Amino acid sequence: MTPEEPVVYVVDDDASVREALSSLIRSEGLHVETFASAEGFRAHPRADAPACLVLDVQLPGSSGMDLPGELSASEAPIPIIFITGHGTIPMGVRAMKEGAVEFLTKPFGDAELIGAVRQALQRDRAARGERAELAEVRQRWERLTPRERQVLALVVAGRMNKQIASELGAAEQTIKVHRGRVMRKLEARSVPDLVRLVERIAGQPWAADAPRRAEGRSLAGPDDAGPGPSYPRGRSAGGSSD
Amino acid sequence: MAASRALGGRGGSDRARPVPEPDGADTAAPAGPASDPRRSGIVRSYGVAVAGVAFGLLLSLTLEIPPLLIPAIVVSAWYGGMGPGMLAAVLSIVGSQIVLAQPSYTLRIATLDHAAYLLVFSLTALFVAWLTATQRRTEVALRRAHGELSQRVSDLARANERLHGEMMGREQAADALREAQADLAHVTRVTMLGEITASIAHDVSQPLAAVVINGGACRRWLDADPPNLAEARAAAERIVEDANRASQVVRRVRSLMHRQVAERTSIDVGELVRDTVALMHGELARHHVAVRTELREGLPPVAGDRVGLQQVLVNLMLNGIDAMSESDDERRWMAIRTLAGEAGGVVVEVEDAGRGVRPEDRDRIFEAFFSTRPGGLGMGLAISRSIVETHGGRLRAAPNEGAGTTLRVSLPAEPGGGA
Ligand SMILES: Nc1ncnc2c1ncn2[C@@H]1O[C@H](COP(=O)(O)OP(=O)(O)OP(=O)(O)O)[C@@H](O)[C@H]1O
Ligand SMILES: [Mg+2]
Repeated sequence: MTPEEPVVYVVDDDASVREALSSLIRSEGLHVETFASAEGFRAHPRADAPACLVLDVQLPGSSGMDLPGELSASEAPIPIIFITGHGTIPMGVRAMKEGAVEFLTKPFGDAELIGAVRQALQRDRAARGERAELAEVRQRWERLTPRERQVLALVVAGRMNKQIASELGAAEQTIKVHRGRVMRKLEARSVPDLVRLVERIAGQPWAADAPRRAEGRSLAGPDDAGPGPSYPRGRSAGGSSD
Repeated sequence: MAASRALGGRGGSDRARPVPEPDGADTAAPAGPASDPRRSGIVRSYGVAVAGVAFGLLLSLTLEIPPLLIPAIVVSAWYGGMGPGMLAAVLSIVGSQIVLAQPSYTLRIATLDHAAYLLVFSLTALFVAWLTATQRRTEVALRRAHGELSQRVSDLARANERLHGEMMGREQAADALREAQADLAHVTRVTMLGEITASIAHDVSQPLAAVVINGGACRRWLDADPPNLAEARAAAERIVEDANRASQVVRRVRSLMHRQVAERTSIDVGELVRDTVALMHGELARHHVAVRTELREGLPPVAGDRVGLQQVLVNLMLNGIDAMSESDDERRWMAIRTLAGEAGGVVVEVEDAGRGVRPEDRDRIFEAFFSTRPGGLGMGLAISRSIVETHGGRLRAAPNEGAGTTLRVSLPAEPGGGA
């Protein structure tokens, strides 16, 4: 994928805080887009680039608080840095659950905010990479016919061609041909490759008929890609407001 | 007092006792063994007349000087009044005829010359007696009048003293009342500020946060290679603006916090409304209340206590916000208007779209401790009305045609200010 210029979105109803945040983030050479309201941010088409959101949770109007939930449920969630006047713990905990990277209480230092932004962009970059990879895997997966998917399931379960043939009531030769097609379509070179791929797509809504984990055998490869597109939990919890 | 005591001296110092009548009817009589002081007084007066004439005759006889009888008549008339005076005159005429005239010891009038003398003497004696007694009576009447007058004057002086005392007491009470009212106004002001503290804190923390962020940004623009001076300057300018904004909020709050003596100044009502709406900005936002201000240009200033009037507006706005606490977001609005009032005065209206006042509560909302608000003290409107009334103004509530209530503050024109 192309390394697009990252974008930092700032949503704050207070014009002077907004301007100050914009200036601070721009001083780091980052591109900033500011919005006075959650509605303004929603209506704005987002760039296809690593991004994060700096959000004042005390926005007037109820919609400010809905934004994190909406974002995490969307196709392309982005990390959120919450800023607040008084960091109450329940609010912080909720913010964490909804994918906050940082939870900053005003007034905060410039280094804190820049650090949080850098971290958030890093995470989004990783998440975007994963999403792109997953999309590619999905493309490959969708090339398979139902019969090929059956064969794949038995292959990753560790069955030999002969066993698969008898299980599916087909000639061993036919299974060999299917297996070769599966390998080619999924761009896999070995059975461990296949296993990794199957593990990657397991649990995805579009891969309901993907094979389940084979019992007694680890499907995790040596270069396991880690969890899906959900964001790792932020280091500082809501209680960081002293 | 001194005059009255001197006058009353002859009749005793007791004011209740009447001033003695000189004509014998009520002659002064010091309390003596006589059972009837009035009778003994009469006897004494006539005694003086007889003794005086006898003494005069005796003196005239021994010294051979006739006019000594006239002083005896004068003394008798002066001392005893008309009766003893006349008696002394008659005794003198008869006595002098008998004792002094030639031939002695008869009533016979020897010569025409002597008859003329006797006639003149008699007339003189009677006239002197009458004149002296009359004069004496007049003087006593005058004295009595004077006594009464000074009595009345002293009564008046005492009444005056008492009134003065009462007035002082009343003034002290009024001072105490004013003081108590000022204390109460201050307490309710502080309570009211307590209610909006969260939004005020937000109003201060916003610009302060901006200052800190701008400070960091400014440093980073300066540290860049090459330094970006234009951006650094812009950040520094924003710091100044934000710091000013924060101190404005603090100033507004502090002016309401202080327990200052009500100070009458000339107030631009439009500016007062703008300032108060700025103070309430955070509170209005927190409750999602949209506010519209309609300020008439060119209204005359009003004279008054700015803090007090600001407290009134804050109270009315808090009540309006409270009245809309259960409304949908699109029904949460408030309008604050300034208009020209009667006789060059100014009117401020605070209108809300809230639940309104129940008809049966309409007369009670201005009462102290009347509240339908959970946790409400019921002092807001009572204090507001008393503040407006000390400005010679009026505070009224009226239901809107649609939903909600309009509170109307009418303030009189500043004395001497342009109409
Ligand atoms: N704008 C309004 N709309 C509807 N009701 C009102 C309005 N203003 C006042 N009231 C009624 O009048 C009552 C008295 O108001 P007041 O401001 O004196 O006391 P409060 O608001 O209850 O308490 P506080 O002393 O804290 O202000 C309120 O409880 C409410 O019932
Ligand atoms: Mg009230």
